[in-house]
Amino acid sequence: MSRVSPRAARLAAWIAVPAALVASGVVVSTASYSAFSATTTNPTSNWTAGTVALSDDDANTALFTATNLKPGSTDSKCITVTSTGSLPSTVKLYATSPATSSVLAQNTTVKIEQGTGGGFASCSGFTPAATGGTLFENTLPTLGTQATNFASGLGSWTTTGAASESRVYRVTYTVAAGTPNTAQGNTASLGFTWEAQNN
Amino acid sequence: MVSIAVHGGHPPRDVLHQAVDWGRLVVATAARAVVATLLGLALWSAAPALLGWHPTTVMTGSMQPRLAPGDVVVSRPVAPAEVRPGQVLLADDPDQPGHLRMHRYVETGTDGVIVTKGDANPQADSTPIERSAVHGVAFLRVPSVASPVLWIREGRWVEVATAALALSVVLLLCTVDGSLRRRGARHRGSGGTDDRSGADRDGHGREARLASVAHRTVGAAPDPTRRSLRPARHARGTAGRAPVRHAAARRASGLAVVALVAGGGAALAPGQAEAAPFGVTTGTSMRITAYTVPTVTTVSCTDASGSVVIGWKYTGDPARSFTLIDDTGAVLATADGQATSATVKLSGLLALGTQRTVRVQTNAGTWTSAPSAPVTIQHTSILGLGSGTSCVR
Repeated sequence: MSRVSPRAARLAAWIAVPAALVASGVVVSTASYSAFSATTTNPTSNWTAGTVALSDDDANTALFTATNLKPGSTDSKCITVTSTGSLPSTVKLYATSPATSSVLAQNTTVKIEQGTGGGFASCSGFTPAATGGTLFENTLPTLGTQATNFASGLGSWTTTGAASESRVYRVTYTVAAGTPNTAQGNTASLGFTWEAQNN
Repeated sequence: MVSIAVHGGHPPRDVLHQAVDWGRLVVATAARAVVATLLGLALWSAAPALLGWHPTTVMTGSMQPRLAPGDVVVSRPVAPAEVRPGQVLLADDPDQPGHLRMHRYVETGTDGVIVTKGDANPQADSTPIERSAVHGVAFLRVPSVASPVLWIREGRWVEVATAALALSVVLLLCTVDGSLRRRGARHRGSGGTDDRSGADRDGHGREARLASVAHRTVGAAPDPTRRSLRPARHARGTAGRAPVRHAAARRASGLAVVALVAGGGAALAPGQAEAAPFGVTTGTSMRITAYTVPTVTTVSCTDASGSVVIGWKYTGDPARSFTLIDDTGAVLATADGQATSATVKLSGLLALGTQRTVRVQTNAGTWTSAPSAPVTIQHTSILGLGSGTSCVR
């Protein structure tokens, strides 16, 4: 083995730099190619970096499918929303696909509360939160125009992502006692959507 | 090592030293390659900002597997007309003011808005983005380079400390061949006016601190034979004022470069907002339908000695009452909610077969039903005489 000549040492000192710059360029271009060349989505469930996950206990049934409502009719139902994601997130509630132009809708108020206890099967045991217990209390058309997306959504439930967290929401509708005769046979509908986005 | 020294003296020991020297050269070169690669990646992350491009750090896995958290993605501004479905866009997040969204353009919504979706998200983003909110199209991906930003943000200090330690070790390894390079310069300078020459007569003097570090790691026990071969520590202690100053200057400049790179990286790449929000929804619905007060059926008319009995059938929720009305809306008779008939007797002193149409209306609460099918009755009376009220068939 020959002795390390200073020339070789100096050459070695600097040869790494251009080589590495080329290497970094190759890394960036191949990574960019693989990331952006395909325009189709290729979903995977192998998330390693954390997820936002949200579910409810309604088993894909409607919270209310109420018929034969008369002036003064009222009912409450509860639904449990559970966040199981591993990322801290904000959960908001908003209305989707509102069909609330009828006389019935205009004369129906909705109250949305959040708290603990109870569930989709029964509201028994539901306790509204001490602060911010009532998220909304106004007419059905107002809900359909006021809370329409995540930005305008109701509530500010922030999850830590450390463990599964649940909240129970109680929705109460009341058909006003003075609802006019023209509301007969009317319908009204809207969807309640809870959305979680990571912070 | 000791036995070699006893047996043969210099040649075998030289071979060993040469092997160690080559090893140091390889290690230092590899370490420099690692550092230069990191710097190159940092350059790719930050330099496009000078062109007005937009580097962002991917903070979530919503675009996996194409983009991973810790990646830096550089977006290139494009004209709104050039934005096409399939592209990964960087845009203001309408859901969270001040945040950026980096998701794929999946379809065009109503009014030309852009519907986006994270590849790994189960649903498209609930709120579409306006074309004017688009900052650019993702163009370059620098993998994993901003992972420390992610770790700091998530408070993963173990990873941060590990990365810092690894970087320090690599930076230190970059310098282990310093003596090999400088040896030649000293040889050349030994006959001239170089002030280092006095201390470096044997060609080993300037390895100073780094060489001693290397030796400490190679063999912890001081070897008496070493001292004569390598008077580095002597040089440092006795004649090495100037070399120490130079070494200090080198160290300081090295630290300055590292600080500059770290500071520049911190100022440029992570300063950008996070991209790629992760969203998921769940929901339920409500549908309410109002009652329709039923109308009576099978309305009949039966004569009953000067009056008529109007009968009907009613099925439905119990009614409060029934009202019998004529064409003008005048109430001819009322009956309670359980009744299925009512007697109508028209009054008037002079009537010659005056016909009236009778309908039955159901009253439920404050609501009333639509009028029933009509039956016609007539009234014949001359000063209270005549057939009275009768059915018309």
